[in-house]
Amino acid sequence: MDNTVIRSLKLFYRLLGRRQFTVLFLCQKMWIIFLLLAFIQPGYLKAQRTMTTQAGATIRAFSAEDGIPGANFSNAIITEDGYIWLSTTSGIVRMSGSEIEDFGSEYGIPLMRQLHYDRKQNTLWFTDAETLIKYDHQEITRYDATDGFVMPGGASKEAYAMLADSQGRLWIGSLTPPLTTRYNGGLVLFEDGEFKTFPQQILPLPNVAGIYEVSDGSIWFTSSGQNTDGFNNNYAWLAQYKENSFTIFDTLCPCMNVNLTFKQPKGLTPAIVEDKQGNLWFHCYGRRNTTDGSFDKHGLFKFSNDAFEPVQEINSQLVNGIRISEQFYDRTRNEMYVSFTRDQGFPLNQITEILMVLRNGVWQYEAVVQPDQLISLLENEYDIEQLLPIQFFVNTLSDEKLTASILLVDRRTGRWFSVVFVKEGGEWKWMDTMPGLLIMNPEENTYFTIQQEPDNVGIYIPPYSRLLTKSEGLIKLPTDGGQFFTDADGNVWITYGNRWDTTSRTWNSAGLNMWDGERLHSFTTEDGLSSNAVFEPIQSADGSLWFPSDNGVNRFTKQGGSYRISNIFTDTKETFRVSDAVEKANGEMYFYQSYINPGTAEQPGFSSFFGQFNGRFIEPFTPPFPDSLMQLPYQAFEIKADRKNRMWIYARFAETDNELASVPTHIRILGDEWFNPTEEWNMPATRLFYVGELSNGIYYVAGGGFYKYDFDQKQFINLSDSIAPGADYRIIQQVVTLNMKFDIQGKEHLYIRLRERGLLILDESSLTYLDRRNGLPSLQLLYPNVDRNGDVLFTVPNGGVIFNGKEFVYIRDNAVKDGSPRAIARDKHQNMLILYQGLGISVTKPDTLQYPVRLSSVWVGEERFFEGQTVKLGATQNNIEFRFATLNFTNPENVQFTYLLEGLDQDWSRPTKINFMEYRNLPPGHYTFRLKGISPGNVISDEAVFQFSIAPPWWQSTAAYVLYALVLAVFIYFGNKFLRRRAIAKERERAREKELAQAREIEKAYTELKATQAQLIQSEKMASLGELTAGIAHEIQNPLNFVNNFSEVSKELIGEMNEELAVGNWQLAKEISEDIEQNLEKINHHGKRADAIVKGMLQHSRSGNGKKELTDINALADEYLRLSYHGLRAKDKTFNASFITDFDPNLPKVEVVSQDIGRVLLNLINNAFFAVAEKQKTPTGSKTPSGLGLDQEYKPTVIVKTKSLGDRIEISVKDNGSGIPDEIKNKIFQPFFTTKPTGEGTGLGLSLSYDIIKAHGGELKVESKSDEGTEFIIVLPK
Amino acid sequence: MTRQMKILVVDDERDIQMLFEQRFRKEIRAGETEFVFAFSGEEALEYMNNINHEFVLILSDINMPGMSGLELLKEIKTKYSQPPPVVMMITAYGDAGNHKTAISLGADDFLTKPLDFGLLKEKFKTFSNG
Repeated sequence: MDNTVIRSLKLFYRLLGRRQFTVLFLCQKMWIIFLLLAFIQPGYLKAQRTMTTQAGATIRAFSAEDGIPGANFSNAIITEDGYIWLSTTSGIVRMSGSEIEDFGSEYGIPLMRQLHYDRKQNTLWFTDAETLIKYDHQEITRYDATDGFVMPGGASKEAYAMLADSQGRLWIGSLTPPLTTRYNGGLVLFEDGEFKTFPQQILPLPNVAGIYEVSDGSIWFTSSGQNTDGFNNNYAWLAQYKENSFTIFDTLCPCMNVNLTFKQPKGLTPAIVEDKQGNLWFHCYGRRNTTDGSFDKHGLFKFSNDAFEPVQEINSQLVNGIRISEQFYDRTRNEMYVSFTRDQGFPLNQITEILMVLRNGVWQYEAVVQPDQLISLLENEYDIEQLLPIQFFVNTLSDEKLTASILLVDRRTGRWFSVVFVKEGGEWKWMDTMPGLLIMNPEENTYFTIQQEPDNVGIYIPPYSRLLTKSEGLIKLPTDGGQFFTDADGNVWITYGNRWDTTSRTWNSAGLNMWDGERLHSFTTEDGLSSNAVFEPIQSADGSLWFPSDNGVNRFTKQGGSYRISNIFTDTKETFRVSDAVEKANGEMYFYQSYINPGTAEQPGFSSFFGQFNGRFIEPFTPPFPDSLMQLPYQAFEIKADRKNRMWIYARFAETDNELASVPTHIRILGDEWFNPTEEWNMPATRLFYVGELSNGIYYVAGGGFYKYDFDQKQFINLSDSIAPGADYRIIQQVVTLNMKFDIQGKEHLYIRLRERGLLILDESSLTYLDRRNGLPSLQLLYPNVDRNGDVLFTVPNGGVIFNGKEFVYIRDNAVKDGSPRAIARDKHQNMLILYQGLGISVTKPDTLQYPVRLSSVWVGEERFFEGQTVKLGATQNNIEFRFATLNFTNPENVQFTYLLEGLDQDWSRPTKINFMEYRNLPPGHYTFRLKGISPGNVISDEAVFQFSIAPPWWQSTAAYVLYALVLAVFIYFGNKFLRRRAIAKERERAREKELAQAREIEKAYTELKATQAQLIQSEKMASLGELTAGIAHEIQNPLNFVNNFSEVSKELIGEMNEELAVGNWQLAKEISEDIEQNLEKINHHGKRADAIVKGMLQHSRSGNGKKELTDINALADEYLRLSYHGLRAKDKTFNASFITDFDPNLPKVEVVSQDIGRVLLNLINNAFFAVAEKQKTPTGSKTPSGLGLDQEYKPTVIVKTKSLGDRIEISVKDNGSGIPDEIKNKIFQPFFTTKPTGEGTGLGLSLSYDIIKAHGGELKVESKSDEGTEFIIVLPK
Repeated sequence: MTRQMKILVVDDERDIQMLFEQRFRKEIRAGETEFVFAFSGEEALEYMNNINHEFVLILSDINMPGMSGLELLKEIKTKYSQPPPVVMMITAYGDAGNHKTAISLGADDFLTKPLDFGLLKEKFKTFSNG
């Protein structure tokens, strides 16, 4: 039977029960995913070279080694979708964070040197002078000579300029290097789908090297000329196209435009610049005298009122080889910059004389940097004598900011480098020094800048981490820890831990710092502090900051841009030490010393102090604890204000410092007046750790568990054993033994850190548990702090984690490699500050940008589609591959993708770094593929979407159904007519005849079906025989080996026997002859064994006509068991399994068709081995976890058992595989049902087995338990 | 003087015992070689564990039901390091895959079926003298 029959039968079954086949498809899909996972690593853009600039920025440089074809970049563009496009002499590439893609070659596009981006239409144009390619992000259109695209010029002509103008026209200018012939290029216009090539009669320019559109709608063309002795000046250098005609300027302005090798993305170096007033400024390169190197017809010309006017202020500078290199128009400020250059460069001390600016109508020098400043910037790293400034590049960083880079060459190494300044608020400031030439911010809203050296292109990633040390204004290195307090303005106040110096008998205190987001400010006793030993402040409702100190309290009040500091003491100006401050809800301010000890001989102790600020001075008071406690030498206090205008004092008293850590907490509460907790409060008699306050109570962790002081019930409630809806507090039991501070609260959330386990976030109704599985970068969450938004921050090794109650952001800190963090805060710019013990304070700009992700391509077979397209696919185009790209160029390797195929997937995929996904055998339907990216900062990108539909096969299409309906209608119509016509007299006879004919038809169909069935049975038999061949070969090989070996040894023995006989040793000879006899028996035995195998095989393959005969079922089962085992072993070397036989020795012979029963046994045994082999391959199968947590090895085993039972016998084939899932149990006996991969099973085995056993008057049963195995039982009558 | 060699032969074909005993009858008679036969990998391990035999050499089939020769080899090479027994593997499927696996598991030599007893004797000599 050929495959077509099976396939069409399969189709038929598919219509009946599609689900069976989906199982198959899913299996296939999984397999493919697995294969890809195993062999393909995710690809990310890896720059061969990454360097750090002087300001700590990173440059990732890409060259030919990274897949950029060739050097000599002629253009770099960032398209709206965020890709970087680079054109080089060797082709065009598209770059994302994930790949550098040679865009042209996939379409058979030749080297495209010229690239133009029409931003308005979001369309890219490429040309190589022979072909023009249009890519509008939906499709690619190709034009060549057959479409009328013919560019003027010689054989080696190049497209040199392209412009898509506001009228929707595309202009392409060409020239042919070297420029030795007069008309070596020209102009092509593409308008309304038609190409027009301008002949020289209309456009008498030698070539077109630049094309510009200006605001009056006219287009200007510049050209470049040859500069040899044969030079002829009789033709024009400039043309204007206006109102459908060209004007040629052939007398006044001999403008020669020379394009730089790198045309800058914003068109920084155009030959024509238009200002706000509509004046055009022409930069003419002029001619160079080949003998003395001087220039003529060179300079800056202003074109207004249809006339050219040389700019004398500029042109008068152009002596001694000096020429114009750049012009830049700052549209925001209406200023025109012109930079000069000279082949031999300029001395450093002339740096203020190579950039001029037209400001308020006056040309003047623009001093970006003074020579001595520049020298001090460079002298540490360079040999100043060897440095030559070449020119300035001016560009915009944003509407507000300008950059100016000085391009210098180091004569010693020949390398270029740039010193970049940024102008902000009218002042130029140094920004960075780096190799190459920096092209700033090609488009706004991109996250990088493009940087170029002669042989590579780079991505400039601004520095985002730096370390503040004493040189930046830290008042002392934080050798003893410190605290951050962020005030309402976002200023971060830094107070330092102090240590007692036993020699000088002083504290090593120095004052405090304040970080305003830009720089550090410092405050000491010289600025009015009462002491340099000041402690973490609080900010009261009136905006004042209150710093406790070891000499009274310092109050900071804002006055204009600065602070007024007042020192506050008692009314008798007595000094006192306080460490903490607290504000009651009604605004009353309290100060106290939190830790009291008697001191030692070396170091003074801290004495108790409580005081309240009365508006002028601090009035001391004594809280109402019993004298017996207040007299103890060691005391600890913590005061918290609640929302009900009460103040809670938590106090501990002890004889020794050690005891203080564990003694029970005493509470006194100041409402309108002082009161004590009563017996009814059920206060735990242990030490309480205050966690925070929610609207229903105050929460504590204590020795006995997790507690709440409930405001309504007015008592302490132990929550640790309770499960509230959404909150299982039992988890907090885990932390009660920790002797550490937990108290951190942000808005209405309490944060509880579980040591080495993670973080709990508690609000009134729910409890969230976060650990590594939720993406926490570390379980070492230390030094909690709350910022002014109510967000909670923790330090982790290498950075910080910020929580807003719902989600968290992890920020990596690159400033410090190894340090021990002691405090964390966030400033007004959302920068993260971390105080590192002994090192300083790092400031890190968080990378919370949302980097877009893209579907870089979608492949269906060889056909490529683009993101955003909606595509209709044919019925056979049901395999589709998506490739992903991230536009994060900073750290693409940390971006993860998640995707969803609507129409198939139920949920978003797990985040993965693998940047592609393939779907196979998708059923017909409508689909939407959605892709999102997860940035390193946990920011999720917008979706990239691709919609497609797969058409149903033709016989399921709408057209087909219409056809079916039509056919049916026609049939009914004619049938009806026919019946009516013939229905009268002979209706019955004819009907009877018809019945007869039908009966014959049915008989014929039945015969055919029989034949088909016989063929099917035979094909299944041959298929199973095929599986057996290898087993049979092995089975025959073994007996043959024995036959050979035993006959060889017998031959030897006969020789020996003859020797013994010759010497008359009869006894030994007899022994040998007995051996020989035994051997001959063995030879006979093994010969018979081989014979039986061959017979069995022949019997197995013989078709039909099997007669029932008395058969030894045990022998039959044993034979097929071995055949099956060796067959599988031969096919799959890794396969191994134990088989056990448990044959009933009293089993009588039964009358069966032995080859049929053999086939059933073979099928069942094969299936059993297949099942155990499959389970062994699955990871859970190879190791089965037991309850003890020990891995038990999985032992694949197949048991064949026979049993005599009254009037029946039973044969059982049992495996310990994965079992048959319940949902398919009732399908396994259906024809064509298989769980094996396509091509491995016909799906007929069990169905035929079932039929065979039925035919024998027996029964075939299956018992299966998921994960335990399957047992097939054959019951046959005796 | 040659010392006596104890060889453990592991094969699921029981007739292998008779064949070996006849092929090496001279050596057995002379007391140079002593054979012990195991008919499965499990049985072989049992010998290794329970009987205080000091096997100089183990000769094992690869293709056996239950514990395969390769698994046996792995067990032996990881568990019995003092003194390291010489293990030679025999199989009917003398292919590169099994050969490589056997070598990587520490097999000392590799033989294919049908066995060339002349060669096997040579090898025994090498191992007993070496």
